Order: sequence, then structure tokens, then C-alpha cells
Amino acid sequence: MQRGVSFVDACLATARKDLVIYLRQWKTILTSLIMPATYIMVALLGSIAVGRNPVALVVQDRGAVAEQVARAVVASDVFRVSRVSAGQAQALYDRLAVGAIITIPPGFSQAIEQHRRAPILVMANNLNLDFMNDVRRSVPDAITFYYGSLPNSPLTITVKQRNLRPRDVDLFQYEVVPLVSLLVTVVGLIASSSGAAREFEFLSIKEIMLAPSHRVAIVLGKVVASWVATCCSGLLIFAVGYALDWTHPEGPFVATTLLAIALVALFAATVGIALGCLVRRVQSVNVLSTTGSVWLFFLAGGLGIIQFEPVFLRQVASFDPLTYGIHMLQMSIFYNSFDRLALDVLVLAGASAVLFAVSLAAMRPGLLLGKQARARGRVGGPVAVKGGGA
Amino acid sequence: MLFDDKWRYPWEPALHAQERGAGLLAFLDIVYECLRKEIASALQERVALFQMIILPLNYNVLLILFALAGSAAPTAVVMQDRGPYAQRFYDAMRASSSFRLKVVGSEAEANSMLQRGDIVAVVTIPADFDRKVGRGQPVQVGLFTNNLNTDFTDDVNRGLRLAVTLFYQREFPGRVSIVAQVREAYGHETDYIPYLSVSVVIIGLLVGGLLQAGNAAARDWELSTIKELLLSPAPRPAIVMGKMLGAGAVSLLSALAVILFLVLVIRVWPVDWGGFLGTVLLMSAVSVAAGTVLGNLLRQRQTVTLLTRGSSVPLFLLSGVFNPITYSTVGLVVLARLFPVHYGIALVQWFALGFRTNSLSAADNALVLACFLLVFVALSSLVLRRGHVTH
Repeated sequence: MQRGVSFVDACLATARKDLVIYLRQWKTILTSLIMPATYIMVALLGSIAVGRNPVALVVQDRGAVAEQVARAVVASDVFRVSRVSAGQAQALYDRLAVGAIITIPPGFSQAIEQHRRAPILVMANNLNLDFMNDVRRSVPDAITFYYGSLPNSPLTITVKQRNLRPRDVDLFQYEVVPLVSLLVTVVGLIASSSGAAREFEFLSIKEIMLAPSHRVAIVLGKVVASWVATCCSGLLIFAVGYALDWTHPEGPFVATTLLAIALVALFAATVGIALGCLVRRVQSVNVLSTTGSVWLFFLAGGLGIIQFEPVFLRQVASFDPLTYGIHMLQMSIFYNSFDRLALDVLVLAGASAVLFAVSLAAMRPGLLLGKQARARGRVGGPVAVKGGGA
Repeated sequence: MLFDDKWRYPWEPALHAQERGAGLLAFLDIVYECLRKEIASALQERVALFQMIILPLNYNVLLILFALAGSAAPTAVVMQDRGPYAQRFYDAMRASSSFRLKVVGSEAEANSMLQRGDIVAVVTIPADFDRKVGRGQPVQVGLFTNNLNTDFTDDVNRGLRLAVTLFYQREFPGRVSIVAQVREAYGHETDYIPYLSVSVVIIGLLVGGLLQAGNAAARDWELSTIKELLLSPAPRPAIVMGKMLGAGAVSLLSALAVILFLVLVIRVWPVDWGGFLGTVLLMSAVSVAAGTVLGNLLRQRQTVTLLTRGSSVPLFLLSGVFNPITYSTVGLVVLARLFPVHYGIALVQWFALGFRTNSLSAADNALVLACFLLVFVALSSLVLRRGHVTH
């Protein structure tokens, strides 16, 4: 009996072959990159949408207090304020150029000086509660801002704020980090699942499994190929983010960021190999990979803040390994923190190990050849020759 | 020509009428056969069908999670004072619609919840709150925030300031003379999730139409069956119409899934069902016609799928899904008006929730969509010319 090839040689040869095939699939690479790119656009447009909406400010009172309140409305920084006349404001409102008209009516300053009730009139296009809540919060914000600027403020209750973290992060910047993990997951899943499924579709898996090399080496080689391809994509987007100042870890946290990308890539690669070995159809695994990665991303609180989600969603998220990957990236990039680092690493590595074992089980020669023999039986076996009178 | 055109046998007009009738029947027969073939082919491609149905639902879940995350901040309140003013301040916080409040026993407990990520803010009402408020002395309410990002931290801050003004308006109306008097354009409040979900119907139709019609057309080119279709004596408009109707019928499955989700899960009952269903049919026709153009131009299913998946989300988001697009920049407004999705969203918002989200009337929006439909149908017939088939 001929001696089998060494474990490392078989592993490297499989990895090299899979990488070469992957690089030839430019459409697959493009498919996997388009989706995260569109989600970055979602995040960008979303952050603009929840940002400042346009309102018209009409100041009909010429008193000093009215002017101070008007300045407070502008300074509250909730809206893009256009200071216009009443007629212009109505025209802007009618053609949906502004979402609300804030009017400081005549006699406003006098009413305040005489301690009478002085309403600020707000006419709002209450299309949805999100916008209306912004309006409801912003006017009182301006009112407290105004009273706070007075030497003897009647509002004796003030807010003393302190933050948990030393640094504030913009909404878009905050959402880009999970998108790095989405990109890594999508690329890893598509590369590995379609690569594995293709072996089954083209029946080349039979030759691979009959080769005198260890099954673990072959599966490991496939994981390594997908992991390398995925890490490269992840590093590319990280470098772009770094250059654009979206993702800017410092000192040792560059290493933990890279570790997070590597672990998420490993997790995605092993999920993909397991999926490819179980489903065995390229078209099916492509659909499952893209859909599955988006679900993993959503459930990990990808486009929001997991702490803001309802309790049941947070419980679901705790079973999603991507939650730990995103947490590790956020802690490294934004907060220079090692918070729960060991847990994050353990969950990602553990999930990858379990999926590796699933891939190995799905590639058992007995299972594989048995299935193919059954498939042959359906095509060319007794059923097929029955019509021929055999 | 054997006979002069002007001279006819007396029975000829009746014969021509019969031929015309038979011609129309033959035309409809071809339309029906193409439709049947499209539906049968589509139902055989289960993966593509699954993708077509699941994609819009994915978008819906995405937007719901996005909206849920920004709705109300989970906040712990440490009531070091249990007096009436402290209780009313707590009530004002509840009335501000900015928090999901939970009263906890101590600041240490609240801080550990904050560290664990169970809450995003701790509000501490100090022990001397009632005494100082009663005497008009300055008092500070503590706010400790998990400042994950500026947007959510600002919302928490503004929510608390709203609570302060609400408290004063209720307890000391004489002290705070400035009040906000809000008049709303619509008599009902609509949550962000229903508002977003209504627009997702349009993305369901868009993705369904583009994927189904695009893949069906591309499949004919990939398998070269287009050559046989075009060389047959069947009129081209009948083939195009049949293929579009078939793709339209299948693509309505994704629309149906999204509509069922909208009605049964999100609990939106359109204010005008007739207009709503009319919009669904019109937008479906536009998407199918656009998909047919795309499929006949690209001629590869993978490329059609790639382009549909890549373009549908940006198109959808650029068309004013979060708020009227006119609230955005001029560039985005101009861009949105170039695509039918914008008009589809405006129409569906009008008929589902009764909201006007662009400057056109419902009839004008429908007219613009009908024009898009005509342009796409004309383009489909144009790209299906026999001369375009290579041998």
C-alpha cells in the first residue's frame, strides 16, 4: 500500500487549490462585497435620517426674550432650522420641505415678563412617532436651554451628567464596526460554502475523499483557504475604515481588533464549510449564506444597539457568536477596553471548533459514498432501467 | 398583387372580421401559453423562489430592528427620595416617551446593571429632592449614561430635560411660563415600525419583479430557448406580454408575503384597500417590466441576481423610506425622483396610512408610475428584436 501524503502537505495543497478557485470566481467575490457595501449605505442614510430634520422657525415677536428663545431653538441642534416668515414657512411646509413650523407668536416676550403663559406654537407633520418624539423633545430642550441661561433660573432642577466611557462615538461610526463583521461573515460564508458545495456538485469530492490523505487535513485545508480569503477582505475594509478614520484603534487594541477579525473570519469559514458539506448545492448555499449572514448580523444587534433591544432579543443575541465578535471589535476600536475579551474569544473559537466537527462528520466517506450510491440508484439504477424492461 | 385593393367581394368584410377575431384569439393563446410556461419554470426553481420571498421579509426585519433600537432607552431609576415631588418627577419621566423605566433599590445595583449592559442610563433622584424642590432651592438629578454613541446619549439627555419641563408645567405652572403647544397634521399617531413596514411592500414588489422577470428572461438567453421563441411565428408583443404576466403572477408571491406580514404581524389595515391593491399591481407591473429589460440586457441569471440584490436596497433607501425625501438634501431629492420606487412609496403611504410623503397627488404619482411602465415595456420589446440573437 502506498504511503499517504503528509498531513501538512494535504492541508496546504487543499488550501492552495481552494484559494486559486476562489480567486477565479470574480462574480462570487463581487456578490459577497456588494451586500455589505449596501448595508454601509443603510447605516449612512439611517444615521442621516435619525439626525437633524428640517424645521421652519417663525419669530413674530420682536422682544429680547423671543430672540433668546429663537437662538436656543437653533442651538439645541436637533433640527436644521430655517428662520423664515409665516408665509414662507407655510409654503415650505406644504411642499414637504420642512417637517414642522415652530412659531414664536406676537406678545411672547411681554407675556413672559408679566409671568403669563407664553406658548410656543408648533405645527408638525406627524408622519411617524420617531419624528414627533424629536419635535416633542426639542422644544422643551430649547426652553430649558433658555431658562438655564438666566441668572435666576426658575428651573431649580438641573441634570448632572457623567458618562461611562471617555469617548463619544458618532452613530455612523458606531454602525460601521458591526458592518466590518458582516462583511467578514458574508465573504467567509459564501467563499467556504460555495467552495465546499462545488466539490459535491462536480463530484470532485469523491476523488478527494478517495485520496490517501487524512480527512481532517482536507477539511482544515478548506477552512484555511476560506479563512485567508475572508481575513484579506476584512483587513481591506479595516484599512479603508482606518484611513477614513471610521475605525481607529490605538496601541494594543490594534492587535485585539485584528484578533477579532481573524476569529469572526474563522467562525464564518467553518459555518460555510459545514453548510456546503450538508447542503451540497452551490445555488442553495449561496442563498442560505447571504440570508444566514444577514440574520446572524441582525440578531447580534448589527444595526442598532443590543442594549436598547427588548429582553427576548438580547437573549437570542447571546446565542449568536457574532454578538461576541461585534462586542470585541467595539471594545477594541471605540473604548480601548479588554472588557469580556476572554469570553468573546472563547465563544468564537468554541463555535468554530464545533462547526469544524460538524463539517468533519458531514464529510464521512461512508455517509458521502452512501448518499452518492443512492443518488446513482435514482438516476441509473433499477428505477431508471425499469422502463427498458430489465 | 392580383386584385386591386379598392375592389372587394361582398363577403370579404365579414371574412376579415372573422380573421381578426381568430387573430386576437391566437394572440391571447400565445400570451396564455407563455404565461403558463413562465409560471411552471418559476415554480421549478425553488431556491430562486425562496430567495424572492425571503429577501423582502429580511429587509422588514432589518428595519424593525433598526427602529426598535432607537425607540426608548432602558433606564434604571434610583429613588433615594420617595416623596410626592420625587414620585411626580418619575411620572414626568414616564410621560416623556423616551425611557423604559425600572426602579432599583440602590445606586450600586443600578451601576452594575449599566456595566453589564442591561440598561443604558441610571437616573438618581437625590434624598433631599422633595425638600429642595419645595423650597425652590437648586437640586441636581444624577444621570449616568452608557455613552455608546452620541445619538442615543443625546436622546437620553433630551428625554430627561423634557421630563424636567413636564414636571414644572404640572407642579409649578406659574414658574415656567413658556410652554410648547403642538398641533399635529394628522389625527392619529403612527409608530415608526408601521411607517417603515408600509414602504417595505414596495421593496417586496421591486425585488420580486426584478428577480423573477429578470431571471426568467436571462434563463431564456442562457439556455438559448430565446432563439426558438423569436423564430416562432408568434408576435413579439404576445411573447413579451405572456412572459411579463407570468413573472408578475409569481412575483406577487413576495408581495403577498410582505402584505400578510404588514397586516397580520405589524397590524396595519390600509385606509383604502382598493388604492392599496391598485398600487401593488401597478408597482408589480413596473418592476416586472424593468426586470424583463434587465434580464434581456444582462442575459445571465447570476448577474441579474447580483444587480438586483445590490441595487434594490440603495434604491429603496434613496427613495424616502425613513421620512419624506424632501427632508433630505437637494441631490438626494433629484436622485429619488429619477426612479419609480419613490413614487411607489408615496402611493403606498397614501393608500395604507393616508400620508402625503411627496409633493404630488396620488393620481400624479400613479401617472408617473404608468409612464415608467410604458417606457419599460417599450424597452423590453426593443431589446427582444430578432437581430439581437447571436448564432
